[in-house]
Amino acid sequence: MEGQNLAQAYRLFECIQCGRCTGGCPMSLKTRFNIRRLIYEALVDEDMDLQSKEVLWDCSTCATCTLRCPKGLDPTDMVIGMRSILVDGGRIPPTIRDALKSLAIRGNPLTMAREERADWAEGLGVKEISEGAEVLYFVGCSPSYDPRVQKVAKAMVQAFKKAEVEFGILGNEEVCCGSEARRMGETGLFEMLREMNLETLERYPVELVVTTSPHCYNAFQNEYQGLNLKVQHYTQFVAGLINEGRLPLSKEVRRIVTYQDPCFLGKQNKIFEEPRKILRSIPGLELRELDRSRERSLCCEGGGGRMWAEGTNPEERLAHTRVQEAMDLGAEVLATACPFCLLTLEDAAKTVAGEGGIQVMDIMELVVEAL
Amino acid sequence: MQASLDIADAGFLVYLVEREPSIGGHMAQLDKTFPTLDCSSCILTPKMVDVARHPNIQLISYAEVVGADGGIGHFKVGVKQKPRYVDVDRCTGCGLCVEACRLKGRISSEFDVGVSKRGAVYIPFPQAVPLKATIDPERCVFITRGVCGKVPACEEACSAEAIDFQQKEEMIGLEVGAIIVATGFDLFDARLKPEFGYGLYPNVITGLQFERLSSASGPTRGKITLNGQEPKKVVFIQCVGSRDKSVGVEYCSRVCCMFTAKQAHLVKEKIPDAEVTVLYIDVRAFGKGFEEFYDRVRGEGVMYRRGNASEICKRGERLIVMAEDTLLGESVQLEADLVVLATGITPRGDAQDLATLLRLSTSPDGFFQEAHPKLRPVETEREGVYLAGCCQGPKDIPDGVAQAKAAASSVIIALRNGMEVS
Amino acid sequence: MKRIGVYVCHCGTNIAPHVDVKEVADFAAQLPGVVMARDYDYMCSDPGQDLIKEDIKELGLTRVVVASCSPLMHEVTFRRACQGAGLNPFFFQMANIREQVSWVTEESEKATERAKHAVIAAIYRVANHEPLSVREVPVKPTALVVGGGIAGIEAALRVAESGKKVYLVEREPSIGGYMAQLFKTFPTLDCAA
Repeated sequence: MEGQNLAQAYRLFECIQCGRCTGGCPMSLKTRFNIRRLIYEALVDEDMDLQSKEVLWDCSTCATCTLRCPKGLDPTDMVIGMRSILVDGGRIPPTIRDALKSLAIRGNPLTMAREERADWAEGLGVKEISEGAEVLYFVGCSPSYDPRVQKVAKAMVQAFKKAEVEFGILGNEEVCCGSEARRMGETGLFEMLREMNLETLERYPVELVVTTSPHCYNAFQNEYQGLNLKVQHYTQFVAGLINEGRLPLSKEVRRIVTYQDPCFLGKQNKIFEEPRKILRSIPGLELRELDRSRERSLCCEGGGGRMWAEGTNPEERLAHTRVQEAMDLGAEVLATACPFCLLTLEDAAKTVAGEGGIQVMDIMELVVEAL
Repeated sequence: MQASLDIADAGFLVYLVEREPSIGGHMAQLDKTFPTLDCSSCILTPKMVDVARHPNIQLISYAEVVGADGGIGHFKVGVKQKPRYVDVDRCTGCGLCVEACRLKGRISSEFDVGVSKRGAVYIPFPQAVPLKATIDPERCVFITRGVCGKVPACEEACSAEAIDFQQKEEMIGLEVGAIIVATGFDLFDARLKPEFGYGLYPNVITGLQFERLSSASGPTRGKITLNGQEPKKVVFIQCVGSRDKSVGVEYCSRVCCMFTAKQAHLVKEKIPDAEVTVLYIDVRAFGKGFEEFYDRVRGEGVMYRRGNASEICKRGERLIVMAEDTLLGESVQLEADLVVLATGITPRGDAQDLATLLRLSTSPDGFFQEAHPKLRPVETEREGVYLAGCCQGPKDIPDGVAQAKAAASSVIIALRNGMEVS
Repeated sequence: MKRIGVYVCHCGTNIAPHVDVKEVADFAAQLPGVVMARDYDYMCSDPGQDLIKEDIKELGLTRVVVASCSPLMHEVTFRRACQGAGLNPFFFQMANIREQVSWVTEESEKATERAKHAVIAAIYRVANHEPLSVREVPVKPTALVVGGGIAGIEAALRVAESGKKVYLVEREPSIGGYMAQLFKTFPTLDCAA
């Protein structure tokens, strides 16, 4: 029964089983997750048993399968649909359940208090958007609560101030964009969070929303029907500031840097140039490209709820591979522009390179070094 | 060419207008043709020569149609003759100017699809018709900057005094009773599928580039080598820019399955110990002798693996082709020294312009629209204008020739009846 | 005595790597009546044909042999070349050392031997050629089409439209063939009938 419904909902009858989805899937090489086979099973097996498919939680929703599909199907969305069925049936990994519960109660997946959301900004002189501003800086969950990613948010504030950007934050009114809730299969929760954010955003007449995370950017840009605001990822906004001469980068940063394209920024939204433009604008910085970059970038495994689920093969981590590739390139810094990439890659760098080895940084941190 | 020859044989005068310096089209670039393995230029060049010699054919090469007024029986066609900067009546095609050009070996050859380099004055290939030199106005330093040494090297080298930098674009007016459009196709630009790293990795090439590598008259004299090295692991990837909605090409290009089988055979023939793998979705071997050829190629040890490639990256010096073997249900990483992308057939980049010019319509795939898909396959909606070859849709050589012959017969009927009326 | 010219084609890499073309040419040069034997990259190319024409004029050749591909490919080409130099086009003979030799013989020595045999045969044959002339015969301006399916119908109509009489012969009681039996045709789903 499930199989037939999925086939209808995701147009699986149109699949030609070419295997491009699985061939490019970063999970297919390290786990038994095979998305082409899942499509076929859903087609031919009316009684498909999703409950036993633990591998469904391996997917990081990087969407490589969707991008490679020659028939315009969206296998990523099908995985999300399958997860929804699991969530509805209550069979989900406990860590996922906790994250979802926290999202429902506290508006963030990190089990942190709602009223502590803006604590990171204390003493920085950041305006609340209610005081009026042109630009709304949508901080996001990890940059609000995670001590490592908070540094990125702070760097953002420092740069915005330098460039004299009229900006404000939502403060404790901000709730999660819901991107991860949706990808963990909790569509209802996603819709609830979207409604909350839409309601909040409606109240403040801003010209532009700027996000830290590509995941928030993607949600606003592609999944927030009814949002009539211009949204930019910070790399677009900051590249613009640099272009207009509003953000002079004068200090030399003599480092060899390579860049990890976050899936939700690069592959899914084709934002490849702006991050590189920013890095190239930093004096003294040498940018080296990874072989697998841009459309062929390797996922860090941080998306699709994977921050809260280890998956079926936690021993082999793509982030390790990525750090190793960066080291082989002779890079001193592996830069990225996504909170999840930052966290997974930094973890991997500690294991692979150890203390004093390659550094993992957000582009924004390099920008403020150059101020 | 075929259409011209048939009409000319029937006793009518034919103007054959070709945009490039030589006639021959894509077929001139191929090594061998499937499934008979006939040498492509061996069967093509006699026709080219026939065209050049036929008393009823007037060849207007290096020229483009810029307008067509009137209707069947009385078209007035404007043709722009681009300047070759070479007096074709004097030029003997000896090639001395080609050797002398200061830019010799510095400009990517269109005919060899970048596999070799030419100079600013060039003859696209040895069997070119007409066998005349052409100066590339965009690259020639004498044309672009006004100086090339004391005297342009080509001018100095030419004993026939054929170099003529004073040549200007000319407009030619033709009056014709019927028009056949046989403007051919472009190949899908593999850069539009960045996951394959075409343009980034020198050993990822297209099928047409492979033809030039494999051709006895090509830059490597038929040796399949890259930087002097013979590849030992070769992977062919099918359906690059065919059957692919993600790049706006929904249709099957019809020829790639078979040219890939032929190329796989050629690798096996020339490098017997090479491992040759073809990654495919379905094999469409629908023509006369095609399935038999596909059987033969597999029998020669070419490994067909079902599952199309998703990505190419590099590990050390070798390429890694990432794909799923869908019959195993497992992702595989194939090592390769050479990857050949079976790039599909697309409409000419300026097909829409020509459609507007000639008042033709195009089908949703961008090819010229025939009047009826079954019963009027060579006619267009504009009476007196007919289609032949890949400008109407992807097809192989025999189908192209058959359509040309049909178009020619349509023209002959129209012209003959017209004569009887008058 | 006939004055014979022999031309051995490399055909790029089709013949030369398997057959020692120079050896074949040198061998042919010793045969009775042969006054010139050459080998060349592509005999069918313009410069290749020019070789023949010049030799006919300058050496007074009366017979020509080209050892290259199948006559189906280039017999007409070379006949025309001979004619162009004022020789009766039928004083030409082709020796097929590609399809019948180089493509089907693996050992180089054997291939060269076989090529020599083909060339000897051609030389002896051409010496006995009689001059032929092309003559015109009246043509009945009427065509016969056998089979009245869609292909036959279309062909018959075409010929008829051009003003010529056509006999269309069909075995069944009605023309129409298989197409008349179809319901709809792919991909447009037009009704076949």
